[in-house]
Amino acid sequence: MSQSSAPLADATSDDRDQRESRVEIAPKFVPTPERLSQYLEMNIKEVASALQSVEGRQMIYQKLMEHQQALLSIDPSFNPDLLREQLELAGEVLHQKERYLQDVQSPEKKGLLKKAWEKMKGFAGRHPFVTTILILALIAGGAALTLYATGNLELVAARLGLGKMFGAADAAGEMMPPAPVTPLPPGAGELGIPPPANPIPGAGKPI
Amino acid sequence: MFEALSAKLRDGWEVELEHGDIRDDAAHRAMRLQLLHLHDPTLLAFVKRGSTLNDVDAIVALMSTTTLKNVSDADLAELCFALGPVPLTRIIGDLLKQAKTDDELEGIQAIAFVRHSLLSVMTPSSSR
Repeated sequence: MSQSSAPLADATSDDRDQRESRVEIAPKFVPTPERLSQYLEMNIKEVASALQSVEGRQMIYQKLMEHQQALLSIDPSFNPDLLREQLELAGEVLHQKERYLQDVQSPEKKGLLKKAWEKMKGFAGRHPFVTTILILALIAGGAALTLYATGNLELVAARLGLGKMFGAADAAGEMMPPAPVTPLPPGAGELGIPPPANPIPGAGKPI
Repeated sequence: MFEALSAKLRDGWEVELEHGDIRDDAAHRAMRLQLLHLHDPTLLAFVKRGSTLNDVDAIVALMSTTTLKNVSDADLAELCFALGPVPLTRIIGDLLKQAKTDDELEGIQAIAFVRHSLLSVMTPSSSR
């Protein structure tokens, strides 16, 4: 898969130079709680909790490695060493997310944050915050996957007035994830993606 | 950046500096996106509509007419986490350069509140 991008400075409202939109998105196994829950047939909360401890991650790793061949058939680039790193990363980010959500919902901050959310919701269309959040939502939902992979999402950002900000930030790799993400895992449900019938042959024994 | 604003606009505002060594690499950003859960019907409808569009003009038109007006607080919190503190800092900087009213500064303050929460959980404890 190749990723091309036009200099944002060159992207104008008349820019019709939309790139080839057909791209191949290779499937990736990313150990999110939803996906692990599905593959290991464990409760999502149990998986999320396990991911946040060394012992829990080891248990998940061992169970996944029992199905290495099946995982290779799902994701040809599957790599056991990378899986360990991904499990640690997932645990770290989950822990951060739990603390963040507890913080913004804490009684001490709830009032202050409520005002902040209301202020953000009052931003007009094409406000830089609104545009950035909407682009992220599109990427997360997989809706903009093709646009993103072809670099056309940068054109969208430029056309909505974020060209300068995105250009400088993307040069440093700061603004958005650097590679197209896979859509939310099958079975996550929020976006209505149906789960596969049989994720991993032989998986699902109770722990 | 704040000092560049007019004295009249700065009047009544105080600046609090953020401290901490943030490590926010591509792998963390990608994982945060993978852990994002959207439930808000408004946002889901927007994403669903976006998924039917394949060209820049159509996406720009959709985004130009979409606001966050009816989005739930929970989903906004989720999206801010997935975005992370660095892009929010970029947005704050961009907005500060153009701020002309107290209302605009209040908007910047709102984003800064959320960024503060993100920084507090993403800064390694040794650097806080």
